[in-house]
Amino acid sequence: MSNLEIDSLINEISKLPGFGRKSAQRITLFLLKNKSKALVPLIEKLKTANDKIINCEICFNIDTVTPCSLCESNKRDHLTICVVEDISDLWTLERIGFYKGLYHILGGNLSAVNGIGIDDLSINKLINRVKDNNIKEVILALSTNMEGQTTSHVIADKLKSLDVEVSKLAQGVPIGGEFQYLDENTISTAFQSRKSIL
Amino acid sequence: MRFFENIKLENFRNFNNYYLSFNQKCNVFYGLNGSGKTNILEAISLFEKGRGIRKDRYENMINKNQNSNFFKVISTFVSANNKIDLELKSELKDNRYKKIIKVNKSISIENYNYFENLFSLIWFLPEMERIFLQSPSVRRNFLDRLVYNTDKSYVKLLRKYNNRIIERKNLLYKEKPDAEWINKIEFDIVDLGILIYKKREEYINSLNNELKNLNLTKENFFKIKLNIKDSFINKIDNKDNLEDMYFKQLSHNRNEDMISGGCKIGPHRSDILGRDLIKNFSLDLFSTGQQKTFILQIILAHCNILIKSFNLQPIVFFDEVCSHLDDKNRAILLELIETLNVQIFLTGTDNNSFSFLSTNANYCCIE
Ligand SMILES: Nc1ncnc2c1ncn2[C@@H]1O[C@H](COP(=O)(O)OP(=O)(O)OP(=O)(O)O)[C@@H](O)[C@H]1O
Ligand SMILES: [Mg+2]
Ligand SMILES: [Zn+2]
Repeated sequence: MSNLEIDSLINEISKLPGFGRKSAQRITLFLLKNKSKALVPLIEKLKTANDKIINCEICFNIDTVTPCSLCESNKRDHLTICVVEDISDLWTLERIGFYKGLYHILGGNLSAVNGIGIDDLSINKLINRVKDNNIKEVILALSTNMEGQTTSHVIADKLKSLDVEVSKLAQGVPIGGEFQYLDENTISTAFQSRKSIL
Repeated sequence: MRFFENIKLENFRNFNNYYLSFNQKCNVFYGLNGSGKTNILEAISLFEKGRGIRKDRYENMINKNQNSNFFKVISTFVSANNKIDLELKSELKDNRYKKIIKVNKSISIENYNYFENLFSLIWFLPEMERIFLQSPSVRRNFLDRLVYNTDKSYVKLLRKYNNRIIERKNLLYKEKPDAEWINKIEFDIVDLGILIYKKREEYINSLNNELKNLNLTKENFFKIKLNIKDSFINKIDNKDNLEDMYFKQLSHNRNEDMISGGCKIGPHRSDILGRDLIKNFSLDLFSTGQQKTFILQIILAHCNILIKSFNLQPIVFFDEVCSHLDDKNRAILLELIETLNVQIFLTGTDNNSFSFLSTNANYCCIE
């Protein structure tokens, strides 16, 4: 391997979220020093992930099947949907484990400045999903920042004409993307004291 | 009494390693042009949020003659019997310079909030003499700064409002903006815009009140009164359904705003005008020196408000204040320095021009 190839590997790793140049170097060296113990298994796992992991066509969660196992589970309440920004928020809620409904991954928040519009998010899919499945409650668990608030409001507005309860988590709790940093009590309290916004 | 007790500059602007101690009342920096007087004021001003009196970039504040990549400003702030240690440092992160402020050796936000709410910086810069001749945005910024002095959260309100205005502009560029989305943005603009209008009006009212009561009867002072000129809000007599009308007007203006790329109505279009009630003249018709008096009167009234209504310690900078100093202007400065409990910093090229001050001012020759 020439220096150029090592460099480009370091470069690729440093593009991953949370990695700087320094940590990318450390990881590269570690992988190269431990080819059979670390590098080969990693290559295999990455390949499997690439081949098998797909987005759920209904809720945009990731899984090896679509619809995903959450959407297909008969242990879940199929009349409630919790809307989150990102899959990591779904993971947080699943780890805590008190929420038993379905999910909808939005993929971000509306921001005209950053060029993220209605069609860049799964908003219309959500509306159709609510319509087609007689959903009874939609819980909006998006960020409390301006973009998150705007997005919540816009979704609620679009659901207004449908026969569905729309609620937001209790105020003052940072949610959406920030979920992972909260303790379980805070999140479940916010969930329990959610407010109807229509 | 609260005040900055001293300052130490490391690699800041033209200073390499520089220490000055201050008097709690009146400090005079004199020295040749370019000696660094304004730089010292700038360094103190960095202890507030924002980029200081010049609004310059932090990298420009690092001493270019030294081989260093950061600057540091260290100071002690005295509040009653408490001494607060301040340390401010530039830091390069992700290719951008930021400033880090430690209050009592800690970067915790609680410590900073506590410190920030002890004082308010007010500054007079030479260009402010011409404020009534300049564009409305200059006067608007001047007013916003005064409001900010009374309420530090005001800057957040302005930021949110501007963010919504930009968001609306971007949405209007889209071929067919989503109806619910643009409605929500305009609702936000109405809410935030009304808050800004209110804050400014409240402040202007208390300022006018204070200007009326200024204890400056000895000289023939001006009786100035400020008012807000705004093509939208001034036309509305009945403020009961202000929200509705604001919202309707915004929706109505969409097409026009799309073409102009702006937003025709709102507090970002307001202007601040003033009159002298004795001559009944608009303030911009007075001479340069007289216009300086207006600003000094406003600053004096403002300091009174901060002390009386907000329990905030004003700390006032007068950069190059000595031009156009007639008896009136001197009287205001003396009132500020001698009657009010305010820490003041004055700069000028010649220490003789400060001879009107009492002798207990702290004279610092900057060289
Ligand atoms: N980053 C920097 N590194 C080194 N010198 C700088 C830097 N930035 C500004 N200076 C210098 O600092 C000097 C002093 O500036 P300052 O504006 O404080 O002077 P002053 O004493 O207020 O002068 P005046 O009486 O003209 O207002 C200027 O000569 C300027 O070139
Ligand atoms: Mg100067
Ligand atoms: Zn699914």
